Amino acid sequence: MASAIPDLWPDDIRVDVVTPVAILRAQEGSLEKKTKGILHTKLSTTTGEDWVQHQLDLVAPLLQKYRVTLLTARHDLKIVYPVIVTARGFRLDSKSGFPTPPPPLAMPNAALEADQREAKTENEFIDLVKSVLQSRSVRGLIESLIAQSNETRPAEQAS
Amino acid sequence: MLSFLFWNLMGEHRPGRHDSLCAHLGRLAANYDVDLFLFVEPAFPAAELAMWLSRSGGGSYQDAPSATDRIQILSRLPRSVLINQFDSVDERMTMRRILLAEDEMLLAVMHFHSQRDWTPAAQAQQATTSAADIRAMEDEAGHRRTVLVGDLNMNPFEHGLVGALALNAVMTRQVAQAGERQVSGRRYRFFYNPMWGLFGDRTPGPSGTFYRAGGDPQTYYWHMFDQVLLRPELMNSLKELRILDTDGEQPLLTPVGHPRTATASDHLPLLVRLDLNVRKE
Repeated sequence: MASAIPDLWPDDIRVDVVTPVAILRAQEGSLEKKTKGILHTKLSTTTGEDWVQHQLDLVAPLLQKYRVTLLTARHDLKIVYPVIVTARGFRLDSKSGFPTPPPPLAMPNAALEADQREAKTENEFIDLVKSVLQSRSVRGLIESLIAQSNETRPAEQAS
Repeated sequence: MLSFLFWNLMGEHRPGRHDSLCAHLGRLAANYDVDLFLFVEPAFPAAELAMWLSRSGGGSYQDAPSATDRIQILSRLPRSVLINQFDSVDERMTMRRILLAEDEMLLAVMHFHSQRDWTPAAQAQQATTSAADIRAMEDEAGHRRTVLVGDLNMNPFEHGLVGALALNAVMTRQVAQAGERQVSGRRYRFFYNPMWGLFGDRTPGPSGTFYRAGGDPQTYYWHMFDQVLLRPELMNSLKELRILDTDGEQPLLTPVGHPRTATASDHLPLLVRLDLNVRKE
């Protein structure tokens, strides 16, 4: 008798997966609250022929609206995972806790740079974004911009 | 007049190059009346560069730092007129606002990804996002008085430069003055790219900014990787644009006419003067 054909699908497929842009959008606003409005973030999207790139910028309104990009997330126009995440922290913190670069994607011209990582799933993407936003380099940047912003404000407001 | 000099200093340290390069920098500062030195692959700490430039008597240069280490800006302008505006995630583009006598301008400095590592298609794709960053900062500033200068690692005729979605840089002021062009229902802002006029040996100065003789069947020999692009709003203020083959006293080219890599850099510097006055403090 032939044995029963097994279910070959993974057991942990979830039905509540969200897009990278939804995850990034959820990060907007909370920094403004945590920094009492001194800093905020801005999410923007650029679309190419067959790709989409989301960009999360840190904005310092008191520093003449200075803006610095914290990370970008690029994926295919229709297939949102995997995502290539580029972050300044990956390069600067490469010796301090970030995961080592994975092998190149099976996509043309997609060999990863030193400041790039690939997230194949939503969970991996969340972990990567968290590691960027909590990295020492981003933390240093946030504190630098808060300190410089405080310099521009009257003393009573900065306290 | 607002002047700047862009130069890719070739990064790597080679025995004997340090002193000769520093001497070239000092003479450039002494002889060309430069307000802003813009360096990529800078090779030296900014403080050391500032010291060599300032020793020349051309002015007191200070580091104008940002969150980008790949690009160094040394300025003799008052600190208050040069304002950090944007730094890209890969640290390959920094944008500053320069306060002028009557208004202001944006200066973007770029060190783009190399053709050794990226295909032309990948470069063009990335240029699209760089162009989007520039547009976003222009929208934020409320004007389009923008100059982009840098080692773009592409020639003026490559997709990343001429593509409408990319930098959309055209070769004549007459074309650029339209301001924008429409492709598939969307409008894209022009840059004017004056570098077209400096190609080859029928114009004054070197034939390009970078020389490479390869075994590849498709070899240009001279490349125009280092470029300045101007939005139409500023293109008529361009008063001088030169690829420098001398620091004013010593040649930056070998006797056969190639960049003096052993003692200077594999790129040649670009000198730009704009008929604009910086705001007084």
